[in-house]
Amino acid sequence: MIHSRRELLERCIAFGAVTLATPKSLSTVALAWDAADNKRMPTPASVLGPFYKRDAPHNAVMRTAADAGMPLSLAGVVYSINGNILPDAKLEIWQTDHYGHYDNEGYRFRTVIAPDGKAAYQVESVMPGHYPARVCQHVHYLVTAPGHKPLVTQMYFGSDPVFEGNPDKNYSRDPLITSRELVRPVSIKEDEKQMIAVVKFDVVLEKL
Amino acid sequence: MRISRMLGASGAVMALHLVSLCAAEFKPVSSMRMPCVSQRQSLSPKGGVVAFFCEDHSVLLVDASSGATLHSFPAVPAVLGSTFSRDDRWFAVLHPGGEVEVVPAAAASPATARKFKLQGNLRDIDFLPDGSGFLATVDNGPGQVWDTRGTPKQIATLHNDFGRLTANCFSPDGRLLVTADGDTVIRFYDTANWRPLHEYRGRLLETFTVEFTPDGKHVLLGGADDTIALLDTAGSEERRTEKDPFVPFVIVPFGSSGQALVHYFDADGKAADYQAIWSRENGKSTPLKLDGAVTSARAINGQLWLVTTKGNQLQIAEYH
Repeated sequence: MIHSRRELLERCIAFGAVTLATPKSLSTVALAWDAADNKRMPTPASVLGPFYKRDAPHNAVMRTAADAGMPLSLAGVVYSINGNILPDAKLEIWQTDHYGHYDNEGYRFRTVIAPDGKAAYQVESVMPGHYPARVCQHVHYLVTAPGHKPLVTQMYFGSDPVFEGNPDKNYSRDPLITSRELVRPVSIKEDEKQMIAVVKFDVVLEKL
Repeated sequence: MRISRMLGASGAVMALHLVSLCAAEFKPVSSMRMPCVSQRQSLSPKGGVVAFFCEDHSVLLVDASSGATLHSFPAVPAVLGSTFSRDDRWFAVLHPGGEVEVVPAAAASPATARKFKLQGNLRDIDFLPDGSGFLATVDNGPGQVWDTRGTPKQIATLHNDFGRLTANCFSPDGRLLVTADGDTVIRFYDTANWRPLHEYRGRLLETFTVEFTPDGKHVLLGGADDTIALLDTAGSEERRTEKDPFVPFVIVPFGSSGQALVHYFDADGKAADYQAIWSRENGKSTPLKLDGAVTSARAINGQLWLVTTKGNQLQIAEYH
């Protein structure tokens, strides 16, 4: 069993399947190969506003038992374009409540979170409503990390009625959706109390 | 700031009073039949020209007194942004791909039109006070200052933490620039070298409109916190007035007694937009009662000029 790129390269070189035409060490070549394979495209950007609010609380659980709307669990990992995880990132996430209303007075459904040591984040919320001036339900993201460009984007739900079950075909019905990639599949899970919509949204930052 | 709505055009000058405004408060200046179907117009800074943003996406420049069409931009390429120069001499539009088209806006101007390209993902432009170039709004980036007297070159990049310019204004003497960005920070710049002078971080929500008062000593701010605020140009003291039920989206200060026209919208999308006269003296806004939609407003010679439309008629009137 071959376990690593380096081991594979060693074996290939031994059988003449690969020739190194570079003075770099085998480890360096293996690392460069892995990095090339792990490259990720930066997450498409979108507009910030108009209801971004600075200084949101650090609170990964945005919903309360009294909130209307389908519970939503949002999770993902923050990467750099070379595939490295970014555990030093900071995510600001905000959205409307179930009724499509942004809380500009306070900080309901607004949070700032730091991912864990594996750059993974998770927030608990509710499915946002339809804000009247927008076509689709969406969640705003502002993601920053040292040495990387700030990412301002929005995440959409494949379950949004606007897409009529076919986001591939209909995602552009919202003119602010800059990429199909921003429309994420929704899976439903059940815990002992309720059904929860689960969405995975990894974000990839460009280097400065 | 321009109120972003528009009209259309065929250009014939009609009799005054076609759009009936409250006679006690408004003196008609001119009136015309709209040259195209249009929900949005922009009145030039000196009141001599009206730009009609037509429903078919063409843009027409029309002389405000004669109704004559001065220039027409076809529907393609699209117009992303537009601006008048301070002296009414020029009108510029921004097309996709950073292409800028500048045409003379005065009826008898001997100047010639120009086209050139700016680099970057530009969304809007504003003439610099001396007409030497533009302040460009860029998606998810700070504002850019361009000198376009020769081959266009970017001479400065402004600052922000993230987001893009949401509002900007040059001081009456042209020496200061104030900007609001998506990061909620208000920044002041010296236009002689585009260096930042100071910034104000006391606002938590986005600012949608920023305007210098006529004396240039303060700026008026309106934004998502539903208040109008007065900030001194040192960026050190902000005074917020009574909270409004709706979002002040456009502010046009006028006169010497600290009044301003304010255009409000309902962030929840339930109520219709409306305009009001805001008073610095008591910090309150009094809604205007108009028969027609206000689509543009300017402070001209210290007076407030309003463009209103009703049906296919447009009227310019002075507020008293």
